[in-house]
Amino acid sequence: MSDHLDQLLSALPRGVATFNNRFEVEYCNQNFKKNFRKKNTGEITGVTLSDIFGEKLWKQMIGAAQEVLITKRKKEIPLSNVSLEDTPLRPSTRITFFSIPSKVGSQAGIILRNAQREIDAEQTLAHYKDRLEQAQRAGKIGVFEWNIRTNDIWWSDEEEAIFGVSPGRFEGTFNDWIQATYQNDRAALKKEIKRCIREKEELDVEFRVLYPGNIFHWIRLKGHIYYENGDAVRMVGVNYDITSRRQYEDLLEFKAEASRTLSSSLNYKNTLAKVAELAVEHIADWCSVDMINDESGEVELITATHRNPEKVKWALKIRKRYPVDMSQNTGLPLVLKTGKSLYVPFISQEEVIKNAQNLKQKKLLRKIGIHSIMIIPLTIGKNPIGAITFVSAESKRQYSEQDLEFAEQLASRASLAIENARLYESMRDEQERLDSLLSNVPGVVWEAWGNPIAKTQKITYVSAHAERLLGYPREDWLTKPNFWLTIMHPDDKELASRVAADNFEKQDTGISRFRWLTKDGKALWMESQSHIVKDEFGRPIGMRGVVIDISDGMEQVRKKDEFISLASHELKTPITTIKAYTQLLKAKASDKTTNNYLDKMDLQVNKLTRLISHLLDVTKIQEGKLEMNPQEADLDAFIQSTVQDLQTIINSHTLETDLQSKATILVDHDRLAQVITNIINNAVKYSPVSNRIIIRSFVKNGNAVVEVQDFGIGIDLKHQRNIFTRFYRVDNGTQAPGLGIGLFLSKEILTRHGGSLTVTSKAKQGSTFTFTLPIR
Amino acid sequence: MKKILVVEDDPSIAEVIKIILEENGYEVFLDSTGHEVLRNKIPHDINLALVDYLLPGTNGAQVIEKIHQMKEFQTIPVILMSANTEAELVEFAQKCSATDYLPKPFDIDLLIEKVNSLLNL
Repeated sequence: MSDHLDQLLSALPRGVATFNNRFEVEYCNQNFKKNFRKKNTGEITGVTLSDIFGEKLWKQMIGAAQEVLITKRKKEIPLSNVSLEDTPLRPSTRITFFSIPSKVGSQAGIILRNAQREIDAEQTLAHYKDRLEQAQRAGKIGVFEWNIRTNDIWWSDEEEAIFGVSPGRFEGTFNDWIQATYQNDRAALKKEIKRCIREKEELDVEFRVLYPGNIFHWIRLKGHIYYENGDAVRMVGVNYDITSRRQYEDLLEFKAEASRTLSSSLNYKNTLAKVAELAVEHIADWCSVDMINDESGEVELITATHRNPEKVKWALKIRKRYPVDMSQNTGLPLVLKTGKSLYVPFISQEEVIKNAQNLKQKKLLRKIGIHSIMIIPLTIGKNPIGAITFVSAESKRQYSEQDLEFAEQLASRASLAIENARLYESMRDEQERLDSLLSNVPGVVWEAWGNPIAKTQKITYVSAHAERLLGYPREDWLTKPNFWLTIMHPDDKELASRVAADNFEKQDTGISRFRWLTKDGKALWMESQSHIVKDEFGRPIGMRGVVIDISDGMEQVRKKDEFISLASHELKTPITTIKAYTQLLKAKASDKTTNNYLDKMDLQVNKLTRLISHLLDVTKIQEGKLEMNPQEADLDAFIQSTVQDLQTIINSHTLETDLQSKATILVDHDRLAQVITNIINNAVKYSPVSNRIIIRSFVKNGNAVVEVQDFGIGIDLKHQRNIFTRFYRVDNGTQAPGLGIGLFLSKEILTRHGGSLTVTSKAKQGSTFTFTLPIR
Repeated sequence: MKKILVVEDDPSIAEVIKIILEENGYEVFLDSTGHEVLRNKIPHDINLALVDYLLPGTNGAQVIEKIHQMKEFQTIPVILMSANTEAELVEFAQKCSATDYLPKPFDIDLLIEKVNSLLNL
C-alpha cells in the first residue's frame, strides 16, 4: 500500500483494517487502533481478529468475515444486533465487513463506525411517535404547518375544533393562529417558540385558549422545526386538548396545598377561608363555607370566594339579603339537615331556571351560571356543623366522581381540624379561666418541669401576680433559664437552690424562705410552698407551688420579737427591786414563818425571771442568736444530779431513774438542765392523778437516748405533731398553765446539739418524751 | 468608809442598791443618768462604780470609758449591771473592760460578795 493511500486512509474518521484468510490483520489505519486504545498500528497488525475483538464478539462476526473473504464480488456486510459488551468498543460502534476482490489472494476489509447521532435521532423519533400516539389516544388532535418565511399556516379541521373556533374561522396566517390563544399566555408562548427556533430544540408547550362563554381549555403544542442552511423555514406541529389532565393536576395540587393548609393552623375559620381560596385557584369558580352557629342555630357564611373580588362582594350582599332557609329541602339546607353530600355533575341552565322559586332567584341563578356543583357536609361525630360548597360555573368544569371523593376527604379533614380547633379553643378558654382565677391569688402560682436548678428547667406557668409583685414581665419567667434564681437576693441564692434541688430529688413537699429582688431593686421576703409532680413510674419530673410575699409578716415578727425583748427587759427592772427587798426583808426577819414566806416569794420571783428568760430565748431562736456553750458531761451523772435538785421541789411525784447510757456528751450544761427540767416539769404538770415519773437512759444506734415517762392524761394524736411549735398549747378544756414555749425551746436546744426530741403518747395512759444526743 | 458610785436610771433599783450597800458599810453616790460622769462631775474619792448598761441617751460602756479616762479613776474597779441575758452582759463587759458584771435580777448576797472582793475586804 502506498504511503499516499495510507495517509488518506489515516485521515478517514472511520476505523479501517484489512485481513487475510487466516484472519490476521495486515493493515489498519490510525482510527482503527484508537478503537482498541492502542498506541501503534504495529500492536494490531499480524494479530488475529479473534484476539483483537475477543472470542465472544468474534463468534458473532466470523460468519460475515468468511463470507467477504470467499466472495469474488464487491460486497458489504453490516453487522446488526451484535453485543459489544465486555469489549473496548463503544456501544454505538457499528461493524461492517467488505470484500476486496483481487487475483493475488484472499483479502477482505473491516470498517468501524461511530453511529451515536443516528441512534439519538432514532430514539427521538421513537419517542415522538410514542407521544403522538398518546396524544391521539387522548382525543382530538390538530395538525398544522407553519411556513416561517411567509407566515402562512395550514391546519387540519381538528385544529379549529381544538381552539374552539367554528370551521373556517382561521384566515391562514400565523398571526391569526396566535390570536386564538389566551391573551395572558400569548407572550410566553411566542417567547418559547422563538427560543426553540434559536436553540434548535423540539417545541413542547402548554397554553390556554378561551372558548366562547369564557371557558378555559388547556392545549399542548408539540412542534418540529425544519431548517435550511441554518435558517428555520417551517414548523410542523400538533395540538391536543389536555384540559382534563390539567384539571386532574389542579386537583392534585389543590389536594396537597389544602392538606397542608388544614394542618397548619388552629384558627379554623382562617383555615377554611384559605382552603376556599385554594379551591377557587384550582377546582372551583365559587367556593363557600357555611357553619351552623352553636348558639343561635343559624347558618353563617364563614367565607365565600371567587377570583373576582367584585363577585365576592355581590355574593355576600345577596347572602345577607337572603339568609339560608332551613325549612327548605334543597341544596345547602338539605345537606345541613341530612349530613349527606349533594353532588350534581351537570346542571343545564334551563334546569336551574326552571327550579327557581321566583324571578329574583331566577336572575340570581342565571348570574351565577352553575354548571356543576358539590355541597359537602362538615360533621363532628355524625352531626352536621356546616358545609363546603364547590361550584363550577364559567369554567364549565364538570365535577367527576373523583372530584367528589376528594372533596369528601377534604371535608372530613376539615371537620377534624375544626374539632381539634374547637377542643383547643375550649382548652384555651379553660386555661384562660384558670389563669384569671389564679391571678386573683395574692401569691405567685407556678409550675415547672425538670430539676429546679438545672439550666434545662422550664417554667411552664406563672400567675399574673408575679408581674404585679416583682415587676418583671411574665415572659421573662417562661423564657429565661432559672429566672427565679437570677432575681434572688445574693445571700439567699445558695440555700434556696440547694433546698429546691433537695426537695426535687427527695420528692419532698418543701417550704423555704428567701428574698426576691423586685425590678426596682427592693428585697421582698418570700415563702415558697411546693410539691413534686411525678411521672407514671413515680419519678420526679416537675414541681408546682405558690410563693407568697411574707415581707409584712416578717416585719411583724421582727417587731414582735423586738417588743418581747424590750418587754422582758422592762419586766426585769421591778423584779430586780422586788427580789432585792425580799432578800433585805429576809435578813431582817427573825421568826421562822416570815422567813419561810419570804423564801417562797423569792422562789416565785426566780420562776418569773425564768419565764421571762424563756420568752427572750424564743425570740433569740427566731433570730438565730441562741448562744450555746458546749462542755463535756457524763450524761447519767448529769441527769442524776438534775433529777435530785428537782426532787427537792417536787413533792407530788417520785422521780425514778434507770440510767444505763454510760455516755459522755458535749452539751451546754445550763441548756441541758433546762431541757430535763422542762420535760420533767411537764410530766408532773400533765399527770396530776399519778405519782411516779420514770427517767431512763441508754444507748441506741450510737446515740444516747433519754426517756421521761409519765402516767398522766396523755396527748391526742392530732396534737402530737404540734406540741413542739412555739406558743402551741393543747386546748382540751382542762388547760394547764404555761406559755407553750417549753417544748419548742427544748427541741431547739437538742437540735442545736445534733439531737432530737420526740413523743409517743396515748390519751389517758400517759406520754413518753424521748430525746437523743450524739455520744462524744 | 469606802465610797461607791451607782449609775442607775431606775430610781427604785438605785434606791434598793443604796440601802443594801449602806447597810454593808459603804457610802453611796447616785447618778441617775450617767450625765454627771460624762460632765466630769464625779466625787473625787470614789473607790468603786456600779454601772447599769442601759441608760437614757447613752450606755454603760460609754460611762465606764469616761471613768477610766479620768486620771484619778484609771484603775478603780467597775461592775457592769444589766437586765440583758448573761451572755450578752459578758460580751458588753469585755468590750468596755468592766472589772466584773452583775445580771439583773440578782441575789443581794452576790452583789455584796462582788463588791467586797473587789475592794479587798
